[in-house]
Amino acid sequence: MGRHQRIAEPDLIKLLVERNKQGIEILYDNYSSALYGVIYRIVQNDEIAEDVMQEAFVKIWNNFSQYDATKGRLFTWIVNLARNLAIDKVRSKDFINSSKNQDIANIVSFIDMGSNHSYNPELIGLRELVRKLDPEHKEVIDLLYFSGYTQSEAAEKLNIPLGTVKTRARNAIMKLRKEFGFAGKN
Amino acid sequence: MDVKEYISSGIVELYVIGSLSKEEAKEVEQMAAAHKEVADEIRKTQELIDGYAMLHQRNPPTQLRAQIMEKLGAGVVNEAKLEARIKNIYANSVAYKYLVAASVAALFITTFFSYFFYSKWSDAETDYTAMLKEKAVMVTNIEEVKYDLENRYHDLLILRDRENRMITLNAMDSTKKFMARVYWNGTTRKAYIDVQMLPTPPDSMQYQLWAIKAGQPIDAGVFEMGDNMGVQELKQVMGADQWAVTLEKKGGSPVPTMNQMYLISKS
Repeated sequence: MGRHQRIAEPDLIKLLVERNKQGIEILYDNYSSALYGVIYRIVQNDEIAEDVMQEAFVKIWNNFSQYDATKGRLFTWIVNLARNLAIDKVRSKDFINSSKNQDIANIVSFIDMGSNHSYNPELIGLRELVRKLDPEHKEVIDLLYFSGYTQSEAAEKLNIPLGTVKTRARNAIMKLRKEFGFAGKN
Repeated sequence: MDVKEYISSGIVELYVIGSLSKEEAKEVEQMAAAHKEVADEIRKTQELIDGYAMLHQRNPPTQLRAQIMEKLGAGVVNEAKLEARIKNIYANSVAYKYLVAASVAALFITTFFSYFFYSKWSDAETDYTAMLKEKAVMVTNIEEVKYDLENRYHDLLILRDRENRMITLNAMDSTKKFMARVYWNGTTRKAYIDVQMLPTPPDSMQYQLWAIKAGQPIDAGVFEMGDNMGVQELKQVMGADQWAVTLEKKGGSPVPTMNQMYLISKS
C-alpha cells in the first residue's frame, strides 16, 4: 500500500545486517506508523514521540547485530525496542518534571477508536474484538504493555491481588486470540 | 511442573507483554527451550500482541523520515573527496589550472543543482507517500462506516416492516431493568430479537429465546451478546402467546431452565 514495500522478512533482515541503507529505509516505510503509534500512545506528545522515534531508529541501525531471528519476528523486536525507549522516557526525571507531563495513570485510557490511523484491513476484525473486550481486562493489558508496569505494580495500582493481574491478562489475550483465530494461523 | 498448568498460569502472557523481572523472563525462556508447547504459545501470543500494537498506528510527521535518514548517515554522497583527487592529478600542470578551476566551478554548480532538485524531488516523494497513506486510512474508515451503516440499515428494514409485530420483554425480577424487544413476522414467521439490556453471560452460557404457545415452550434460538449487535434474526416459529428468555448452556437447551428465566412478555 503506497510506499509500503513488499519484501520477505529474511531479505529485509539481510539488508539490515549488511548495513545497507535501503534496509533501514524499507523498515521505516513499512513500520514507522506502527512504531510511532506505540511511542505516541506512551508519551502522549508529538515532539517527544519524534525524539524517541529518532532514538529508536539509531538503536535499530547501530545495534542490529543484537536482533536474534530465532527468538521472534523483526516487528516484535523493533516494537519492543521502541516501546522500552518510550517507557524509559516517561519514567525519566526530565519527563516527570516537565510541564508536559501527566500522571502515568492518565496514559491508561481507552484507545481512541474513532481516529485510529490503522489502515490494515486485517486489523478491523481485531479492533472490533478489542471494542468488545471487558474494560477491566483491557485496562490490565494497557497498564502492562503501554506503561511498562510490572505485575506487582499493576496489582498495586488497580488494587487487586497479584493473581488477578495474571488471570485478567491471560483471559483478555485468550479471548482475543480465540476469536481472532490467530491460534489457527501458521 | 505440568506444562499445561504452566501455560494456563498466565505467565506466558506476562512474558510477552514484557512485565516479568529478568529472572522470571529467563525462566520462561528456559521452559520454551525445553517445551515446544510453551514456545508455540509464546509465538501465538506474540502475534496477537503485535497486532494489538498495530492497532495504535499513527503517521509520523513527514519530515521525520529525512531527519532520521540524515542522522544515520544513509544516502550522503561525499563530493569533497572527489574534488581533492582531481586537484592532485592536475596540480602541477599550469595548462590545466584554468581547466581545473572551470571544472571545479562546474562541479559546484552541478552539485548545487543536483542537491536542489534532489531535495525538491524527495519532498514531493514524501508528501506523495503521506497522501497515499492518508488516503488508505480514509478508505478503511469509510469501509468501517459502510459496514456499520449496512448493519443499521438492515435493522431499520426489520423495524419498519409492517408484517413485524413488536413485543416487549421485561425482567422477571421487577427490581432489574433488563429488557429486550422481539419482532415476529406473521408472514415469514421469523423471530428477531433486539436486546436492550441483559447482564453479560459467563463464557460457557448463552441466552435463548422461547415462544410459549398454549403453555408449551418452543425453542426460538440462541443469540449473541455484545455492543453493536443490533437486531438479530433467530428461528422461525409458528406463533406465540408469550415470549421468554432464559440463560442456558452454550448452544441452547431443548427445554428452558425455569429458574434461569430473565425476561418475559406480558401474556
